[in-house]
Amino acid sequence: MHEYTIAEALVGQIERIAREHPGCMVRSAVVAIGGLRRIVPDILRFGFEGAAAGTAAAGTDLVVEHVPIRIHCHRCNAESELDEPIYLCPACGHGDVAALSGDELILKSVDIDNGRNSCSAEHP
Amino acid sequence: MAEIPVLQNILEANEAMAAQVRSRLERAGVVALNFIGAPGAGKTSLLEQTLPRLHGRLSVAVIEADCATARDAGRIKALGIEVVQINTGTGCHVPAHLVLQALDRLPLERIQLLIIENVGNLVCPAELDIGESGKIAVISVAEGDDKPQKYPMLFRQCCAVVLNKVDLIPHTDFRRERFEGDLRTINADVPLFGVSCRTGEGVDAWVNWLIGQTTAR
Repeated sequence: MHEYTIAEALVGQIERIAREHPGCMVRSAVVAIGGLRRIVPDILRFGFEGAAAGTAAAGTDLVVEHVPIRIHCHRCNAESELDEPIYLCPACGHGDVAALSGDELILKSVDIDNGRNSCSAEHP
Repeated sequence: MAEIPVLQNILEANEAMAAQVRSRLERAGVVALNFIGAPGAGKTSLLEQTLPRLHGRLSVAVIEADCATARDAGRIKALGIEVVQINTGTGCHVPAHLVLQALDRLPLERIQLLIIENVGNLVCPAELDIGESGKIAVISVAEGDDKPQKYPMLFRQCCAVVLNKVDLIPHTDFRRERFEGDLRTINADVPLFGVSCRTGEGVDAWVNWLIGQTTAR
């Protein structure tokens, strides 16, 4: 259900970008989300569609990229990728680890056009 | 089609407000702790046990956030503590801009500790920075021993865990070793306090830690 909070914030960001590029439509947006966030991409897309309805973000195709949880073990120096948020080194079993990634919640880029030819990616 | 690189935190509008909250609190020398737990975990009961024990040792104010009613604020007020109620309506968490507004109604120059009791929910409040110095996870025995693995974001980020209703352990299937074991796989060093807000068991150790937080920073 936290997908809706994130969806609303995303719509706000995309609306702002649309305002900065008058005459252009936002076609798609790429977001990167870390595994620790436990986001279900389908629910995020569904929430985004609802939140975007009637705004400049309506119709934007949302591309959700998964960022795996990665840790570095201070004990054995191994760097590992975790499927589950269990912060133990898979190599040596120790809990003395540093998180390298996994809590990302980033709007990476958006694609815009004006329906005829390419819009300028530069800010007006 | 033109690609515009953005690379911004999705929750950036909230983060900007949180930064304002944090700088105001830092200027006033106030430590703010964000209490996060499920409805019924005993967040307000924990405050009712904690606040009288801080009397004469630490000056405190409270922000109470709930979807509806000022009942919890009434319980805090009855203890003679300065409190501001925030109602979030359908919102399942308190966003930073509401905390920023609430700061205007609090005597920041007279307090050392600000406790923000978030809306009962283990998910969304853990996602949002509200300018706090640290998050406190409040969980109760009645919720089951499997919560750390189910809500890793909260248990990974929090600076202390309070396990309430430990007096119920003998009457339930709650396995404390399993709870602690799971918690350690997510947050190896986080302090864990087992308390009963009904009997007062364990509360003193928690309160001493809390007082330490305001002097350590």
